[in-house]
Amino acid sequence: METYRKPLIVGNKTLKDVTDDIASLVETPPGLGWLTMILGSSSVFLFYIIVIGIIVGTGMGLMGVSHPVGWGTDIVTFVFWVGIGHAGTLISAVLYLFRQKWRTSIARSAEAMTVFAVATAGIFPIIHTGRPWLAFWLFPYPNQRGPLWVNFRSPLVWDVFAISTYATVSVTFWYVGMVPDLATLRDRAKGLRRLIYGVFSLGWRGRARDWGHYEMVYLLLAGLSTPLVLSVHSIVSFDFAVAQLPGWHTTIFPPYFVAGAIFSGFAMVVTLMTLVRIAVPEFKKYITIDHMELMNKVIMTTGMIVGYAYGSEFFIAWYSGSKYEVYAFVNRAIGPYWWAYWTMITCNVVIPQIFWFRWARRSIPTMFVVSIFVNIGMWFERYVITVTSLHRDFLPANWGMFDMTFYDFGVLIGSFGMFFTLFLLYIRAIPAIAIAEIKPVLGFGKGDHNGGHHG
Amino acid sequence: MQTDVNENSSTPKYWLSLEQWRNDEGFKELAQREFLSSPLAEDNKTPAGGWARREFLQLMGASLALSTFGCVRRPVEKIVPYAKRPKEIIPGLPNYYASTFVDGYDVVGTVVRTREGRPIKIEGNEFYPGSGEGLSARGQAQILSLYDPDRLTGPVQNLVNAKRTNKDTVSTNWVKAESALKAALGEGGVYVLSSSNPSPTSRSIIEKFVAQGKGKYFEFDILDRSTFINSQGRVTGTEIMPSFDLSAADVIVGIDADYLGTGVASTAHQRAFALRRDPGGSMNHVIQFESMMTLTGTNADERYAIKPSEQLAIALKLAESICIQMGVSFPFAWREIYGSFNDTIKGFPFAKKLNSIAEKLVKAKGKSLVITGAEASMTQNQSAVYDVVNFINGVLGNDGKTVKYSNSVSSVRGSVASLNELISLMNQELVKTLIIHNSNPLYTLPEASGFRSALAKVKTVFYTGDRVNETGIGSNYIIPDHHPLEKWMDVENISGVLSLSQPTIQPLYDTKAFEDILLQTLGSTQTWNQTVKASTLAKVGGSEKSWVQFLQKGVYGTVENSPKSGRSYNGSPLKIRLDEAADFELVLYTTVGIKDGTLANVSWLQEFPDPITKICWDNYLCISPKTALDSGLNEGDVVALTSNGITLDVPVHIQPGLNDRVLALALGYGQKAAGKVANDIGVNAYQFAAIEKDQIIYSGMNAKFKKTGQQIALANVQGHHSMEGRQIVVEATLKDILEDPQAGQHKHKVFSLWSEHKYLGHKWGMAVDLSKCNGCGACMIACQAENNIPVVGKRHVLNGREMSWIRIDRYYTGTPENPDVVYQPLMCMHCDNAPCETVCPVLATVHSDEGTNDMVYNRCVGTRYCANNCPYKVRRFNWFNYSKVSNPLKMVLNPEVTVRSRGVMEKCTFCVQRVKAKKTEVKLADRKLQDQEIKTACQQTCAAEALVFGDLNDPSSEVSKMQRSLRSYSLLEELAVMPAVKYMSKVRNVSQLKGADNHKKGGHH
Repeated sequence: METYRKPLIVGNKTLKDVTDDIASLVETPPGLGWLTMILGSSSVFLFYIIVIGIIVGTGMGLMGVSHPVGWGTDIVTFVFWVGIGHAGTLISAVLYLFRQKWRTSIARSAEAMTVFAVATAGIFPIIHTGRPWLAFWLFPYPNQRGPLWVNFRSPLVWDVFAISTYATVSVTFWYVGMVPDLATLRDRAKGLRRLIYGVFSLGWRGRARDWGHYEMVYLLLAGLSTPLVLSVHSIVSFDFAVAQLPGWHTTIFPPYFVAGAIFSGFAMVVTLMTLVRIAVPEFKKYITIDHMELMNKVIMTTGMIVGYAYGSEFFIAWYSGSKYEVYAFVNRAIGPYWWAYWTMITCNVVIPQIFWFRWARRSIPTMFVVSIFVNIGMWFERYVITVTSLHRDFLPANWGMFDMTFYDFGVLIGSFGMFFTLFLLYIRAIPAIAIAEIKPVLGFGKGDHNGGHHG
Repeated sequence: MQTDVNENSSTPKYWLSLEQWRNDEGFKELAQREFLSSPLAEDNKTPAGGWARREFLQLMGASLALSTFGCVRRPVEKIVPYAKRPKEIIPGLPNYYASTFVDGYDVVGTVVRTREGRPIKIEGNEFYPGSGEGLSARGQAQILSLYDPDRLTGPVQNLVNAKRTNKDTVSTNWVKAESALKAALGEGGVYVLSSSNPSPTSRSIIEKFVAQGKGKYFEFDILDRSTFINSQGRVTGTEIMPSFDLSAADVIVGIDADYLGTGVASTAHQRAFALRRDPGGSMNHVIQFESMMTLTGTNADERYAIKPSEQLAIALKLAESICIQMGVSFPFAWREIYGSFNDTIKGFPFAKKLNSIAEKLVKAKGKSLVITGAEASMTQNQSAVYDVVNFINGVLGNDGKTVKYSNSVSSVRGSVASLNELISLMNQELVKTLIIHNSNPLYTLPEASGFRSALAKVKTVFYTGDRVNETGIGSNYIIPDHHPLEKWMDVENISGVLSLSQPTIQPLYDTKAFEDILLQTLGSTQTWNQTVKASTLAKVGGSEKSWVQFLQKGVYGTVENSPKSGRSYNGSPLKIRLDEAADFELVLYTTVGIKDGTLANVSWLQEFPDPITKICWDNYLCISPKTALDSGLNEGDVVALTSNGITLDVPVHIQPGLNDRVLALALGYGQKAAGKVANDIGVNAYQFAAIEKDQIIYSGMNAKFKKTGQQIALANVQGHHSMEGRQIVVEATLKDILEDPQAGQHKHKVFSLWSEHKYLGHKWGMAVDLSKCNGCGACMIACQAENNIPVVGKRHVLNGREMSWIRIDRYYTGTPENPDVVYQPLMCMHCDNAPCETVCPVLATVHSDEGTNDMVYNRCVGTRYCANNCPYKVRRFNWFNYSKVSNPLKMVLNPEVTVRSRGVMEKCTFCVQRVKAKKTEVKLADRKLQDQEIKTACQQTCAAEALVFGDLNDPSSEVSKMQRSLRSYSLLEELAVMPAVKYMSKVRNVSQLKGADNHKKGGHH
């Protein structure tokens, strides 16, 4: 019989093969490669903690932020990491609702990426404040200071809700999705491991009732997460859009930020998945080149949406008739930070165009390089928005420059240490591919005569 | 429970558990114990290292304490109330003492505010003639010099080796120092050198002392004005420094004069000048020829960039032209020299204008003024220029009218001739003992003056300075005088006007009034305090009551206001020396902040941006944009500057409006031993100066420079210097303003979707008249003193982290070769629709019901969103713990204003503490608050009275009237933030503005 769709999983895997392949990564001792990577990333993580300690202990003045550039690396990197998180939710929730079966191979890791990216991002709004030990004042909680309430008109308060909701829902969604797999691991394990996986598998027995409830909860959570894909980065964009600063005060920001977030998120998934495919060759059967190609298509599409936004910003600035707006955008392109702007354009708009070519979409080295460029480009996008708008605003006397210091680079690089440490620990502790979700897409019962060893 | 179990091992009748019934050993033991586990470790049979419950709690507590140890923020500080309260001190209320600020030849009557016995701020004395409540930046900053940590705490002695260089400095005591002085007095040959001494009583004591010591008293100022006084003598017959009445002058022509910035009586001049910059009144017309851009030049209507060697040509041309028009004969003796300038005059780009300028002066004869005398005018031909200028004023009949000889500035006393006499006496080894008072000659005098080598021939040198500076190192004994705020002093600045310095605090250290030492050594029974009172009492009325009145008011005597007839004048022969034209002429100038360098160790002044260049923490070589282009120099490039055989490495600053052949360098920097703040900041430009005959030459020296390839970042507080065609400072010509008061303004239609704030009581606001503001920056230091604003240092200024709550933006308009300059003081605008308020997540910045935007420091978390959203960028962030200041510097803090900790935002509060204090006072007195009763610190110190604060709800208040004026506009009006501060357009008395007129009048399109 003719196959209309390519199989999502290749290599004639039986159900047992799937379980063995995926679970073995968690069940066997780590290899030299993983050990090297965890050693490297946790060292960077440690360095990160020390850098943050020094900044909190001494003062924000150690960083490059200044007058007039009140927000710098911390906010840029915060938005960067929050954006990264979006692909995870998109893949796991939105694609789930649209019954895109190809998502199953990458959903687990994409969600993990979301959770860790949000965790990494969450550090920044705290450490960027002047008095981080009082940052909890941003939460509206009953207190004995009056009580003093938060300012619900401030986008930063919306941010608190957006990010904390997002973190909570992402963690729940991720966790609920992995319960059947944890039960599988429990059933294969002995001793302490069995106990731990047992506790976390919440008494899963694999009965029809379990599956029924599971499917319902998963569907509901997917429904709950879907608006968050749009809302979180919209609200993060309000941090800028609600301000009256030229270059920030733009209505296009919410959709533009969401597109950018998905763009950068998918790029990060591609980065991670190429690495996972290298680290665990067996996973190539599950995360096939077709999966990668689909993600590359998403990258190219969202990249063009972002490119459109860059263009339309210029148009609106000119159309607004406001000389401050016009100046803000002209200054981005040809002002002192032209290099940041053109790095952004090159990385985000020009380079992904290579994905028009099929060979590029299907070439692992190419997509790896492109995804890194997109990550760089998206960091610069936030840099351009934050820094170039602030550094030259209304009154020319205020104009100034922003120079990153050792501590700026410290937190930027250090945050990657935190992210990769968490991710590396994750692939050794939790099945990196959803076993329970892979099995239904193996292709049994679709007239595929080649399915399974027995044929 | 225990009974049954303990009796025997038989089975109990009643049992609680099977264990009890079985008489289990374990149960018996358990039942013995009152608690299942003892709270005390010794009771517990826990294994070694285990924790008892109580211990655990202790450890928990300790670790909690430890974990919070790192962020201890409020150490316990005990306050001790007065056991016996001094009569005049009410804790929490300030006391004010009249005093006088003497800053070389700018002498201003002041009022010192003290709190619980320590002076915290200096303000202008409203009764003082001329300057009134106005006080310069330096006057404001003097308070910090009192608490300078580098001050000596007692007398010290330098152990001098055979080469007479200082070997070691050891502390000594007053008995030893005074006996040394007494011995010296007996030996004879006792000389005193000081800067101009404005105190008649002090002078008489010193004179008496040197008479006893068979010596002489010399007064000498490094910023010398004696050549001008001498010229007055040559031209008019009276050797005085006249005072100039700028308010009576319709036309003012300055030839390298800086009467507003650094000149004699500049504070008084600022006030008088501003009176004539009101387009509603009769506006003066100001013309300036200058070789360095000065505060005066930037406020002129017409400004011409010249080089120092051209001053004489311009003066002579004006004189000739005026003579012709007035029908007076041009002095015959000058003709030859004038003739030699023919080509020079023809070559001026403004050659054609000179005749019309002369015409303007003639038209305003008796009501015009020609001034010169800044350091830039002190060329080798300074006497000739001064002669011509004095002559012109004579011809024009300005003498006695705008040039007031009856109230001369008698505090300008020093002369180069005295210095030269002293040096020659020292070289003849006639000077056995030299006492140096209020002067730092070893820093200021160039090596070529020979002062250092001459000083080596003096047996004993006493120095009364308050630190071991350059002169301190070169002297045998340093006998520190009191700080002026710790000392009695009578001051006669303007002849006929007496003022007083009274001690506002017990001397902080083991210092002694210089005059007291002299009196003691002379064997007088009177102390200095008594002497001052005795000698002043007679002058102020004689009775104890009049003395108290004098103390309270701080001033006695008035200035003559009625015009006098002019003195006779003559054009005496000019002595000039003409050199070949140099490639570059060097100008050494003084800045408003550092001036001669005496207050260089005051950090406020080091971080005070120069009004013109906006650079702080350095001096630099100003070069014109064209020179920079020709020699490939960028801002901050270091050049090796050579002049008078001396070479120094100095960074360049590209200064628009500078003559292409001029290089300019500020004096007062490059001190080596002034203290932690000032040491090694910049280079010592005094080294380029020369003393020739009886004059100091600061200007017109042949100079050259070479690029070194190094770079020094100059800390400029301003990021950009053009308005980029935006409506920021609205400028208009007088003609246009008279036709249409809104000239130059581009009005926007602003509306709000929401109802506006309602202010039922007061609504505070401010008006800034840009026509009056001269940009001097006194308000910045006043604000710093009033509001405990920290200094951050050069490195952080480079990052834009200076903390000024009020700043003055300076923009250039027109071309870089010949720009106009506009100034704009900028403080928090206290917007009705404040963008900062909506974005603060924790409500740390909120709107008050009196229209101010209040900052709640305790609540601030430091997100800095407010600063990002402020269109005026007036908010300042505490990047580090700036408030951590050591003793004695923290004594200057105003207890009325919170000291801000690290991580919080701060900004202008409209001096809310002053508002509150006055409101309380008014309420207690049960009366209505009067307009102008509350003055903010910036407004109070502004000699030009450009800033006016008040209640906008009161339609008759000054600020309401000003804001209603059609000249008023809101900065960035189109943002509809509704600022409570409004600006009044800058009016120039010219026919055409230099800046392109971007905003034609009219409604919004």
